[in-house]
Amino acid sequence: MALHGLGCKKKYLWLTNLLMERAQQFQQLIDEYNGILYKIGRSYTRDEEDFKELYQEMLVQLWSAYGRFRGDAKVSTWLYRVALNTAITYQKKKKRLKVQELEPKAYRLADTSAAQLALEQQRASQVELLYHCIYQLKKDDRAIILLHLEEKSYQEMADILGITVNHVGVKINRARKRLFRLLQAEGYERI
Amino acid sequence: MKEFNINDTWKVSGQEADQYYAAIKNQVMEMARQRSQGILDRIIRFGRWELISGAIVWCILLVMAWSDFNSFVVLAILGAVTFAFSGRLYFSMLQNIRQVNSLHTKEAIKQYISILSSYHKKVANYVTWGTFVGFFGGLAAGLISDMEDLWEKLTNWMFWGIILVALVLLYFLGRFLKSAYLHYSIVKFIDELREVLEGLGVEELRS
Repeated sequence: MALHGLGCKKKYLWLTNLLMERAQQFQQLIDEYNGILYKIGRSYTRDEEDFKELYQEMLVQLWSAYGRFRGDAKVSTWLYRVALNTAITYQKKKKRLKVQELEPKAYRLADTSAAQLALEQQRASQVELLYHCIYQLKKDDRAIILLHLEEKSYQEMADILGITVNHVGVKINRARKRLFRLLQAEGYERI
Repeated sequence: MKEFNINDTWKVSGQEADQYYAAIKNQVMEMARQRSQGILDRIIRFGRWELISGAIVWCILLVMAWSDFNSFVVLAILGAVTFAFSGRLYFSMLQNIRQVNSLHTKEAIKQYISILSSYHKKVANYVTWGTFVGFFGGLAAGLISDMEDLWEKLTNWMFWGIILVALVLLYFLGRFLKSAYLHYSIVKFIDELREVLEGLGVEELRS
């Protein structure tokens, strides 16, 4: 019964190559869709530590689910579904309510020149504010707003969230109104 | 009141996402691969653990039986028969695996799954029959060692009742333990190989 026979050099190399092959395909997938993970991660967490943890958890879940993906949906639909479910589950697990202010540059890693700093800071603070407002939405509204901002079709949103296309329209309007109210409360007028 | 353009801001967020990803890209696969790399490690660890623990248990049993010559001989014979059967199964499985042409990945995985599935079936049968043969062998050995009361025991319905209950218990307990152990030692690896195969199938469809 000792399966260590599979561990002989040849088999080890074979399995390693196989995993490398899959890993490369997975890497290409993440190269293409990394923005989704970032945006979902930012929308479902309040601080950098949680964001990094959720980002990693989404990657691990996607990698685990990758072998079972049968191609019966679009790759992006599958990816959104897994990532959103992971984010929602993550948040349920955490159940931590942090009220502290987010640091404007908490997630920014790129260097900025002195000339562009002011503009960059303004943009960054707006991005922070947008994520802050999205975070305050209900979890269903958060998902629909994310997909809406990503310009997904109603059909694709329905596929990802498991709701009807008609329901998508209703939910988008409701979520947008709530988001606008939150932004207005922060002192912004034209949205 | 200030202006806020959601769509523009969202695009800036996309740029941030790219910057973030560029910074962590090298770690991405390391993060994601943590679990899957375990397939190899677990196969190797399990085989090593199985061999070492089997050898230790066998040595302990032999040492314990050292003082009783008859038990020692019975244990040694049973051990030899067990090793002969399991060794034959194991080495035949290994030989089949070595004969697989691993150049064609998908075909190779299919053949590995087939070999391991057949090995699993054979081991399951072997354990089932081995358990009952061991049980009746032990019973016969016990009866022979005490020949004086033999006829009295054979005609006692209580004796047969206990044997029957023991057999039923052995059947259910043995079945449960066998299934759990085989799942842990073989079936889960087969399932993981199947998952890899399915993953490759999907990739082929997409490419």
